[in-house]
Formats: sequence, structure tokens, C-alpha cells
Amino acid sequence: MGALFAPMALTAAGSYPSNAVVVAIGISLVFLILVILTLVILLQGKIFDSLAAGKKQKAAAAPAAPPKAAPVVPAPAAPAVEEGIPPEVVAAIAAAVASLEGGKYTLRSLTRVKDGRGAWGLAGVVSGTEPF
Amino acid sequence: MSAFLDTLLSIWQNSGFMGIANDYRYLVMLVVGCGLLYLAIVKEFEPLLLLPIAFGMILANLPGSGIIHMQYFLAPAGADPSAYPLFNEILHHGGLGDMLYLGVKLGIYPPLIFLGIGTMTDFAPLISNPKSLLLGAAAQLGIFTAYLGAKILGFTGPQAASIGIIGGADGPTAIFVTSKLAPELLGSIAVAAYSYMALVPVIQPPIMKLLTTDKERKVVMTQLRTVTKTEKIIFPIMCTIIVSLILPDSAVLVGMLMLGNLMKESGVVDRINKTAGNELMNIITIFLGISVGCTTSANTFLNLDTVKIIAMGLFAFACGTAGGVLFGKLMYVITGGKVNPLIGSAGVSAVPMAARVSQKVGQQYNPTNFLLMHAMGPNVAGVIGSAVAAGILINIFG
Repeated sequence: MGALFAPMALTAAGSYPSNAVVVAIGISLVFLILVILTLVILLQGKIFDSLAAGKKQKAAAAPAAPPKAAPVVPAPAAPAVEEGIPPEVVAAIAAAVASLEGGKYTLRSLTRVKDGRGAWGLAGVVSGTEPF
Repeated sequence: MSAFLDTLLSIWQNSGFMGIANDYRYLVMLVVGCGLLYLAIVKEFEPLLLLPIAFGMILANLPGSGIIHMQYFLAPAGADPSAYPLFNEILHHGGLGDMLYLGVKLGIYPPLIFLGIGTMTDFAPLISNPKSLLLGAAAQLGIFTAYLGAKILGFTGPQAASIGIIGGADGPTAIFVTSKLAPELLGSIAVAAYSYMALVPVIQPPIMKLLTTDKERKVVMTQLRTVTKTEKIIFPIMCTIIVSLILPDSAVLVGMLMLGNLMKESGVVDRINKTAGNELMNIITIFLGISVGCTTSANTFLNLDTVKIIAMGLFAFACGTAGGVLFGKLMYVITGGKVNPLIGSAGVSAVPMAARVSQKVGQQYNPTNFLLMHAMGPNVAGVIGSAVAAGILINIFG
């Protein structure tokens, strides 16, 4: 492609290709490059989709064994909720997890995050380290 | 007493008022500068660039201000153009405007702006629907039809190419191409490009409505496929390599755009990503605006050429929009009505304004239709498309 355009780039100033050539080359080359990109992205998408499908199949194959056990398992026990967390919050968290995980989930326990630092301490650390 | 009066007289004769009295065109340029400031401040036409451009225009046209010496940059008729810019003169006698303009002349600012744009661009809609790249290509039709128009109006090849690139609806690209091919037209082309970009919501809808049927405008497009992070990281690397190998002249623009995008998508260089998208881009925007404004002297701006450039710029935008919409119609037919042709108009870069226009027009006809994400695909494809077109024109005329 480079060789194709070398003679054009070498033409002396003032002796440019004709208008029709400029327009034809311009439009066809813009399309050519973007079509190549389109094809490459399509190919990449196919590869990634098949990879994702492969992963799903594996994931589907793994739990294929335990479905027999599934009916044995009784309805999931109520999650162990730490004291002081209202049921509305539990419901909201459960709903959020469900929407993220596509409905297949069990909320086993709910405890408050124990962070070594309080909110003020954390804010101090963030403001002190953020510039770096 | 006479010495006092003589000195006073000398100061008066050196003042800008005498300059204006000697050449009324300075005054006209000041009025034009104030008019553009009005558009930037009151009408909010791309104010981030139009405001410094307009103020630079005022500064450059205050007689005797000497903020820029365009004679160091532009070869007069008959002089050897290869000797310009006169770096020796610029470094010894140049001022603020000269130094800032070097960034335009040497093609430094536009790629740096592209770097910042890259950090703000999400290519996911494009990766999930790669066919939208074709709409971005079709909308570059405006560049080449305006090139033809400019040639018919009597411009030289390089000048016509610079005027055509206004149709790419991409300010930095227009400045990049013009500074290389026709620096004498830089001021007029930059003003036209940024004014029309601000007018995209006014220019595009009538053309979109004219070229589409009611049924086509109501098409609801299917949901986009989810794009993985790995795909988003691979895209800028792959795009840079492919485009630059085919067309090395586009490497600077496309490369910097993709570098910015890779910074964003990789997620590992948050600090420089923020700098490129905020501080650096803001600084460059100021430099670019002032220096482009400074290039507008009465000689190069107040002539029939500027009127022709402004007319051709509008023509370029209209043709680009039409090209995108018509190609959208073609895709509508080929896909059996799955593509809404309104997203084609977004192929003329002008991110994200053109995509918003597609969304708005689409919603007028089907209030439940959300075309924005679908239109973002052709929209960012338009940026790549105009950078590619710029590379082609530089290759031919550079």
C-alpha cells in the first residue's frame, strides 16, 4: 500500500493528481481501511464470544453433577444477619446481588464490614495519598 | 515645551489609533472578533475554543501589538517556501504568539488534543457493532465533495483539501491538515470548522428528515452486545497498528487518540490518564485557541476566500450528514429494517453532539426509542474516519 502511494507523494508541488483521482482514492481508501477494521473487530468479537461460550459450557458442565442433590437441599435457610441491620436493608442487598448474579444466588450471611479505620480516618488517608 | 509636544505626538503616531486610521480593516477585524466573542459567550458556540480564538483575533489585530509575526511563518510570493518558517527570526525576535504558533505549525497541539479526546472516548458501542465503522466512513463523503467544490471555486489542491476537511467535523484534524497544507487559510478554516460544529444541531435535522421516511425513523434497534474489558484494551492497539501500517500519515492523530483510549481502558495509569484528559488538554486548548486566533490578519481573513470557505464548510457538513444517512438507508435495506438510518448522520465526528442529534430526532418520531448508544458507534468511527481522510490528503498534497 505504501508503494502504491509513493509516486503520488513524490509528485512535484503543483502537479497533483486530478480531482477525480483524489476523490476516488480518498473515498475508496477511507472505506477500505474502515472495512478492514470492521472485519478485524468482527473476528475479534467472534473469538471472544466463543471463548465466553466455552467458559459458560464449562461452568454449566461443572454444576451438571449436583442437580440431583439440589432437590434434597431444603429451602435456603434465612441468612445469618448481624444484629442491627433492618430487614429492608437485607432485602435491598439481596435484590442487588440477584440483579448482578442473574438470580442464581443464596444470601448466607450479612455482616457489617469491619474496617480498621473509621470514616474520618479513611478520609484522611485518601486526601493524604490521593495526590500521589 | 516643544520636546514635550513632540514626544506626545510621537506616542500618538505610534498608537493603535493611527494604525486603524491608516487601515480601516483592523477595525473590521476587531468587530469580527467581538462578534465571535458574542457567539462564544452568549450563544455558547464551542466556547472553549471559540473564546480564545476570538480573543486572539482581537489581540493580533490591535495595530502595533506585534503579538505574532506571520511574516516569519508564511513565505511571500516568489520566496522559497522550504526556507519557512524562519526559525532563526522566530527565536531571536519572536514573542508569545510566535512561540505558541510553533505548536500549530509543527503539528504538536492537534495530536495532544486527540490524546485527551482518547481518554474521554468509549469505543464500546463501536466494538459491539463494528458495522457502524462503515457509517463513519460514509460520512467522510462531505470532505471529498467539499474538496471538489473548493476546486471549482478556484482554490489550489492543498487549499481545497484543507477546506474539505472541515466536513470531517473535527476541529483538531482540520487545524492539523490546514497547518500542513494551507497555513495561510488557518484562521478562516478554524473559525468555520468550530462554528459549524456548534451548529450541528441546526444543520443536521432538516437533512436527516429530508432523506428518511417516517417508517425508517421509527426503527428500534436491538440491544448492543456486551464488550469485555480485554476487547476494549485490544482495540486501540490493533487500530493504531492497522491504520498506521496502511497510512503512516494518519499515525500521529490516530496513534495519540488510541494512546489516550488505552490509558483509560487499561485502568493502570489513572494519574496520567487524568492529566491527559484534563490539565494537559485544557492547556493545549488555550494555546491552540490563542495561536489560531492570532493568525487571522485582515489580509488573510477579510477577503472573498473566507466567504467561500464558510460556504464550502456548510456544504461539507451537509454532504457528510447526507452521506452518513444515505449509507444508513442502505444498511436499513440490507439488514431488512434493523438499522435506523438516523444514526448515520452521527458519522460526521462532532462527538458527542452529532450522536445526541440522532437521539433527539429519533425520539421525536418514537418517544420510546433510545438511539444514543447506537449512534455513538458511527460517531467515534467518524473520528477515526476523518483522521484517516486527513492522512490521505496529507499524503497526496503534503
